[in-house]
This record gives sequence, structure tokens and C-alpha cells, in this order.
Amino acid sequence: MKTNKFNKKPIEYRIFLVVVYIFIIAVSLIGVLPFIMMLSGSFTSESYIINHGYSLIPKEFSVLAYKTIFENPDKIISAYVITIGITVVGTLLSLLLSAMTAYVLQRKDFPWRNKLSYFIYFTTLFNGGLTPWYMLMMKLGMKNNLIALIIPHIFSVFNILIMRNYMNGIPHEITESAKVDGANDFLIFAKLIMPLSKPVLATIALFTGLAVWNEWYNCMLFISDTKLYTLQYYLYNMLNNAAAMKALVSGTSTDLLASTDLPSESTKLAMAMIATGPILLLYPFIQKYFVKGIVIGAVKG
Amino acid sequence: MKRTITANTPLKRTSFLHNVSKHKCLLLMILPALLYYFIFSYIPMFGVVLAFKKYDYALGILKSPFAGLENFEFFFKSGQAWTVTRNTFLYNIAFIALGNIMQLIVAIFLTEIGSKKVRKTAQTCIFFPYFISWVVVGAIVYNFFSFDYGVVNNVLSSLSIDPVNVYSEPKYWPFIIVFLDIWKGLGYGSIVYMATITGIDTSIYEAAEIDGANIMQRIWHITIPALRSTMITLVLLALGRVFRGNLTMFYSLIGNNGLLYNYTDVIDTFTFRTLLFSNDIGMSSAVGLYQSVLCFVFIMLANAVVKKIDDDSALF
Amino acid sequence: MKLTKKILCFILSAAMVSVAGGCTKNAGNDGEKITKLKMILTGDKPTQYDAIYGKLNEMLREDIGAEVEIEYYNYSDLNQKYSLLFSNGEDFDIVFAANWVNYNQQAEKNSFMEITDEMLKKNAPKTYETLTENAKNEARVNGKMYMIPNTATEYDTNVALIRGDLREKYGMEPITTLDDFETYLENVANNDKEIIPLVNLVAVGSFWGGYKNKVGRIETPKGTELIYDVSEKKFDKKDFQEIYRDQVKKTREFVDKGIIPADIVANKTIDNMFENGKAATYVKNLETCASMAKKLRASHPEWKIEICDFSQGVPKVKNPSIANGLALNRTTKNADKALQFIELLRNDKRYFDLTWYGIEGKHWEADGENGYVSLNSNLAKEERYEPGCVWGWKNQEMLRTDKTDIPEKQEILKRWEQETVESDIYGFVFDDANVKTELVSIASVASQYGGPLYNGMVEQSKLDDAFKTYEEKLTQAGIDKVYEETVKQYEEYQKTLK
Repeated sequence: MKTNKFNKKPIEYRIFLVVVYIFIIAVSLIGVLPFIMMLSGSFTSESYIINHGYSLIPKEFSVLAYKTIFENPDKIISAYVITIGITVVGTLLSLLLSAMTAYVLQRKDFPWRNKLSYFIYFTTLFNGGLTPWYMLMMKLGMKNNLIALIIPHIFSVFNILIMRNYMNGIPHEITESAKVDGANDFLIFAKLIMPLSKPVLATIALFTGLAVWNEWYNCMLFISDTKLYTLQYYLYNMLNNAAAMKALVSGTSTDLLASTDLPSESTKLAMAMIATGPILLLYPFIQKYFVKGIVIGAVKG
Repeated sequence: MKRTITANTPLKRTSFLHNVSKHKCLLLMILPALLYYFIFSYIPMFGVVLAFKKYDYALGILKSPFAGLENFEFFFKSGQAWTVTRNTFLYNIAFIALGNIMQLIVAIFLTEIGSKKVRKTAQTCIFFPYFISWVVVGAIVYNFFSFDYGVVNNVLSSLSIDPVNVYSEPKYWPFIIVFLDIWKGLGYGSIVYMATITGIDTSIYEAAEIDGANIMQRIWHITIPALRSTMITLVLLALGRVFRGNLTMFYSLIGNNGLLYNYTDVIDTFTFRTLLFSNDIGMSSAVGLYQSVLCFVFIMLANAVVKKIDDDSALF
Repeated sequence: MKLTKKILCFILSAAMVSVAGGCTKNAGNDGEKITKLKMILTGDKPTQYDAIYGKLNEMLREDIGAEVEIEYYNYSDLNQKYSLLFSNGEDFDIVFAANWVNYNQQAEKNSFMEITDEMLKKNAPKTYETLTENAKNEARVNGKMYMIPNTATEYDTNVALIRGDLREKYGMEPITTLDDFETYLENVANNDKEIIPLVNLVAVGSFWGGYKNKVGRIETPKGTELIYDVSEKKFDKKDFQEIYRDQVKKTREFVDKGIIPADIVANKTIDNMFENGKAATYVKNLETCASMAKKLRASHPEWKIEICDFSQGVPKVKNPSIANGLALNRTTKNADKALQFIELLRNDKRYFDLTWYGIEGKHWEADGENGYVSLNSNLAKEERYEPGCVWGWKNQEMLRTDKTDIPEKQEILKRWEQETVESDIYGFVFDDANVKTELVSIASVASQYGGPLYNGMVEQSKLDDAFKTYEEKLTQAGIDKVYEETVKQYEEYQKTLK
């Protein structure tokens, strides 16, 4: 059936498709191979990695890395709960608030749209640096407060502008006719614009979800209670702690082995897998919104 | 023009109030964003004064004594200011130009793939690098280029070509770095384009096909124009950061390898390295301000150019 | 639709607030007089924190009516968080301080509370007695003391571990000299292609650049590229000295001979290589090497790990006392109690043993007056006690020696003690106010031009040109000005001593 369809297409389209497939397969392989190396590395014995480097298939199979990490599962489980919690709350909140903002900024009849766009955009150019921001956040009671991990991700100029752009493409007649029917702006936004913006909402949900999921920086700054650590902060520490410590105390008489837990290469990779696994599952779920033609069909219907 | 406005001031005020009441619902909707940016961005922005101060913890930001331009001196007298500024700029331009082109191609190609399964699998594969942290990327890259047992030198020696020590040859690194940056952001970046393509009315394609347009013509005349404003927005947004370097990436790949600095040192790595010991807040604020000003000037120019050509696509 | 969204939004924010509320600390009301102290240390929180510090708090309540809570700052973000700590008037009393977390710079920016002799006499009399004038001098910044430095004898001298089985395989006698060591490395390079002879570049710097010449040299002040000669009591511009050129040449020679990998600077797993059989040597400070040797003699007895000290006859200077210590927050309201607490930590055996070694009977057993046997290896991982950052109250009089340590460690330490010379160099605090710009330029030049030289990345034939360029760049960066400033300040410092 499919081949028939293919054969019906003109020759130049068939050549084009061959190019497309070759290109996409090549890019996919370049993308996925290092990831497989990581996965394989996390199941390889430490001595093999140190002696021979990573490989695509585990040559000396070992689950020791995962065993080490799950020796003390409480930490990982609590990090999962925290990370999933802030990701869900952060994404929903951000989606609603940024979509509202984007909608207002693309309304041609909104008199201050240019000024306010600039007001928002300007913040990406200038910032007061880390110290004043940190002081402000601490004044607002963000120490050991999970809100500190969500706030930086609620609005992003990038997301707002992407949404604004997309909403620009929705025919203005929709808004106009709804107004004539007496609907207020919020209703138009919630009932008409939001459903029509599904692809971009899915995109932004993915972006925000990823951003919150990958959160470690603010966790580092504001969270000292280990029960509130995020997964990525665990990973970050595991990847950097030993190296940072060695750099700091080199030239002193400190016993490097006793003073901090030096994770093996395979443990680092295993932790990386644990920290990224679940968010990968989100991706196929989002993908279903990227089906060609879904939006316009809905408008016409 | 100016005169008419001044003459009509009372009228203007009533029209302002009128506008407010007319758009109160929209204003309420945008209020959270305005408050957010005011509190979390504009209030701490006063911290830029730190660039001109000799910071003293006991006195705080406002009361610390002024240091004039002293905090800027270290950067401009280091002899590296030009090199690192140039590197930062050129790397970012390469990332933005090549990155966007690749993302665009991937997005267009992916939507042309008929099989859902293939498309989804490919999309997921292309997205994977996004999840690999730069530290791990650094380790994988080393596995490739290691002088004694790296993949590349193994291949070269099996072809009886002399092995290369990539870690002592700066000339390879711009290519490696640009490649890695594109590779890592490809899946993420192409999503925006895919979402936009998704929004294009399929009936336009069908009509074009009936009119006898071939696939290249359809892409060139329908898809690309539809993606234009998205692309301009993405490029402009990226240009606003064109003098800021990705510290984590450069540091994970290059580390302390001084031999490569002429080709790989960016403003952020330079400041990180040189201020590591002194940890001077004033000095790092000074460099931050320098980057901000450069970005500001550059983006104003870029935006003005875009505005001339296509008013709708400009950022502001 | 609108309503559901509103409700959803409300639930979300309510949830966030309640989560947040659950996280903030509840100030206990039990016992009005208990002072709550907060201390900030570096590194990981010990797994046995609750058991150890719970017990400590019991004693502390009884002894001085106080309780302590410790917050740990991870190494990966220590630099950044440490300076932020003081910018905000954050609420804590005691903080870990050390030269390697920029004690001097932090003190100059008014981070800490001055600790006067009167405060010490009143709250910490034993500490006051044990602090030598030299130690106090080292802790002084602009004439004021801001930290209680540790009082332990420590050396940063490096030693080497080698594989005895390989040495025997090559038919070599035990390694005692650097020439033997070099032969060993060459043998590995020639006979065992799978094993890398040397991965710790610091070995060339310490052994060939330092101990071989039997002179005590200290790289100080930090970041100036100057070097202080302990015997001659004078400064030199390090990179202009023949000794260091020889060190660079030696490093490159090793690269050419296949002893050091050509891309070693990019390898991030070097410190794991020895224990995994990939490297033939391990070069670190004595404490770390002793730990590693102990570990490997248990897990790989067939390797016959041997420890080599090439520093015999080299005059040694003890590490500065400010290598680790405790300071008070400038804004603390509990200075008296905090000092009383530090006094107990440093000088009360119950506190010291508990924090350093864990619970007696579970984590350790006493062995004689000053010895102990660690019982950690009998315990499950989460039951073990790794003390972490307790160095701030290290006190030589309280320290116990671990009877399970390798026997060579104490022998070497005894020898080093005999070779120790008195020096007042660490009491000299360099004020970089006049040369800040120059120091940054020097740091930049050193990493760009010096780094490749010391890492053995410049070919032998290009070395002379590279030395010349490096010297020129250092001169342009202003090393002469820094040198003069250092010498001038050092002379002034010398005058204050007399």
C-alpha cells in the first residue's frame, strides 16, 4: 500500500525522500550512539572503563554502579519526588502564565504591546549579577524553599516570544468574531486561542518541563536540606564534587580518599541515566501534538 | 508630529485612561509577567553598581566605596580582552547561523517522513544529546581523540596515517566545538520549527501540488516563508547573547589546556579562570556589564535592521 | 473552563505554599536558655550525622547550654556559595575558614568577626594557650585575627606509590633514589604497553623540580608565580629559574619516552588509574598515599604496593596553620557561646574523639593513650563514620594514630619532623591591593603559556623559544612590579617581627 503510494509520486520526490532518509538516519545515529555509550558505560566494570574507555556494548558487564547508587534508595526516591513535583507544578504554572502574556503581547489592538515586549525583553540583556539576585531571593524567604526552584522558570522571554509568534499566525477573525459575540478577552484566550495553540503549548511544556527537570543551579544556591535536593543536583555533585575538591585542597595535606566519596566513572554514568530516564518518557507523549495539519483542520471544523 | 502630541496632552491622558479601562482584562492577564520581571529582574538590576565598587560585606552594595573603573582594568590590561571577545562573538555567530540552518533542515525533513514510527524514533534519537551533560560529553570526546587509544587515532593508524594529538592542536577545536554545540541543540531547536510547520495549512500544499509545484518549490515557496518570522525571532533572541559564552561547555571540553586558548578561550572562561583565586565580586560584575553593553548595542542594531526589512518580525 | 483553571491554579499555589511551609525550620521552644549555634562546614554531610551530632548536642546542652546545627557546602559549588554567604547577612555563627577558600581575601572584605585575645582568654583559655605566636601571626590580616587556626603538624610533601610486583618483574632492587624511580618508569614504558608509567604530573614538579635539588621552596604568595627559598629567605621569579626549566625539560623528555601520555592534561580519570591497574605510579601527599596503599594492600595484595619518599634531606616547612580553621560570622550574636563550643571541640577529648572518630565501641576502639583502631570496615556502608570536614578543629595534642594505617606512614612522618625547619614565611600575608590587575594578567599568562610548558606539551626543540616567550609575557604582565611589591612588603613584615 505504502510502496504504491511512493511509486505514484514523481521521480524528483522519490530522490528527495531518499536524501531525507539518509540524512535523518545519519543525524539520528550521531545523536543516539553517544547515549548508548553512556548507557553501556553505566553497565561496565570500572576497571574496563579506566583501561579501555567507553564502548557501545558492555564488554565487562557489571551492575555494581546501580547497586552502589541504590544502596541508599531513600535519597534517590526523595529526589525523584521533589523533581517530579516541581516539574509538574512549574510547567503548568508557566504554561498558563506565559500563554496569557504571549496572547496579550500579540493582540494588535493592545496599545502598549511594543513597550511591554521591550520591558520584558530588556531583562535578557542586563542583569545585576548573582549577588543582588541572591540577596533578593533570600529576603523573600527562599532558603530551603521549593518555590525557589520554580520561580526562575515561570517566565522565559524565549518561550513568550515563541508563543507570541505562533499565536500571531492564528487568524485574527477568530478573536474579532468572538468579540462581536460579546466574549471577554480571557474567555477568548481560554476557549479559542488555547485549544488552537496545542502544538506550541506542547513545545513550551516540553521546554519548561526540561528546564525545571534539569534544575540544579538554584538548588545549589538555595537548598541546603539534603531531603529537598533535586535529581540533577545529585548528578551535578557526583560529576563535579571530587574534581572540585581535588582542585581546592591540592597542595594541602588533606587525605583525598577519606574526605569525600569519590564516585567511579560507571557510577557517574549510572547516575546520569537515572537522572534523565523519566524525562525521556515525556518526550513521545509530547510528540503526538506535532502531527502535520492538526491545527488548521480543527479551525475549519 | 511632536508638536501635535504636546498640544493634545489632555486628550492623550483621557485616551490613556480610556485605553486602560478598555483593555483592563488584557492588562490583568499580563500583570503577572510585569510584576515578575519588575521584582526578579528590574529590582536586582541595581546591582550593576557593583561593577564600580570595592565590595565590602560589612557595608553592603550601596554603601561600599566607589572604585571608579578599577574593576574593569584587569580585563582590559590582561592583553586577552580582544582575543576572548572576538572568540566569544565568532563562536556564537557560528552556533547561531549553522545551528539554525541545521535545525531548519531537520525539521523540514522530519515532517516529510511519512512513517510515524520512523519519524518519532528519529526525532527521539536526535533529541538524545540534549540530555548528556557537558562533563560527560567531555569524557566521550576524549574517548574519541585520546592520543594513545582514541577511536580517531586507531582508525588513522589502521590506514597507516600518523596519529594526531588533537589536544595540542588548536586548529581542530573550532570545528569540534561548533559541531558539538549544533549536535547538542539540534533536537531541541528543531522542535520549534516543527511546531510551526505543524501550523501550516495543508490545503496550501495540496493546491501547490495540483498546480505542479515540485517538492523543492513547495519547501522554498511555502514552508520557508511560513517559518521566516519564527526563524528571525530565534536568531534575534540568540543574538542578544552573542557576547556571552557557555562556560560549562568550554570548560568541560578544554579545561586547563593553555595550548588551545588562542582558539578556544571565551570571555566567560577567561574570567572564571583568572578570578578563581580572588573571587572578586566587583571584577566579575564589571565583565558582566561589559558583556551586557556589547550585547545591548549589537541587538539594537540587529533589531533596527530587521525592523527596516520586516516590521512584524522585529523583537520590539 | 475558566473556573477549573482558577481552581487548579489555587490548588497548585496552595500546595506550593504548604510544601514550602513544611520546609522552614521550626524553632523549638523547649528550654529557653539553650543557645542554637549554626556552623557551616565544607564537603558532604556525614552519613552518621544524626547519631554523632545528636550525641554531641546532648553533651553540649549540659556543658554550655547550647546546641549546634551544621550545614554542609559541597565542594562543587563552594567557591560561589562561600562568598554569597556573607553578602546577605545570613544567619550563622561559625564557619569553616582556610587559605584554600580565600581566607585572606574574605577577611579583607569584612566577612568575619575579629577574635581578640580577650575573647579567647574569657571563652577559650586552653585554645588561647595552645595557639603559638606564629600561628596567630599567620591568622592575622591587617593586624587582626579572624580565625582560630588548627594546631596540627602537617606537610604538603608528596610521596609516590609503586607496584612492587612490577619492580620485581624488572629485576630491580627496592627504589630509594630518583634515578631508581626513573629506571622503574622506563621499564614500565618499555615492557608493559598497557600500563601508563606516570600520570600525576605533580611528580615531576615535586621530585625533579624540588626534592632533587634538596632545597625547600614554597610557591607563595598564591598566584604571583613567585617562589620563596626557605633556607635563603628570599623570593625569586619562579619561571625564570634554571631548576624549573629543567623540570619542564624533564617532563617533555618523559612524554617523548612514553612515560607520560602526550594528552595527559585532557584526561580526567587519572586519579582512578592506579587502583584500576592502568597506571604504575600514584603521586599524592602522604595522607592520601597512605590511605590508597592501605586500601590496595587489602584489595590487591599481589601488587605489593610500596611507598617511596624522595624528599630525604630536603628542609621542610610545616603547612600554615590557616590551612584549616574556624571563623566567626561578622554578624553573629553568639560569639561567646561559639568560642566556648570551639574550645570544647578542640580541647575536650570527648568532643574531639566523637567528631573525629565516631562513637567509641562502634566506629573505633582505643589502642593505648594516643592510638585507635578503626572499626569502619566491619560496618555496613551507611553505618560507617567518615568525619568529613573536621579539620577546622584539628589539634595535634588530641589526634590519635590509626593502628590500621600502613607502618611506613609513621616512619616517614618521624623523619620529616626531624627535617622540619622553622620558618615565618606563612605569617607573611601579602596585600595585593596595589597589584590586583597585574596578578590577574599573570594568572592569565601562566595558564596560557606556562601551562603547556609544565604539562610537557611543548616539543623539546621549541622549548627555548617557548621559555623566552613566556618570560616576555610575564614581564609584560608586570611580574617585576609584583616581585618588588612582595619583597618590599616582606621586608616590612620582617621588621615587625624584630
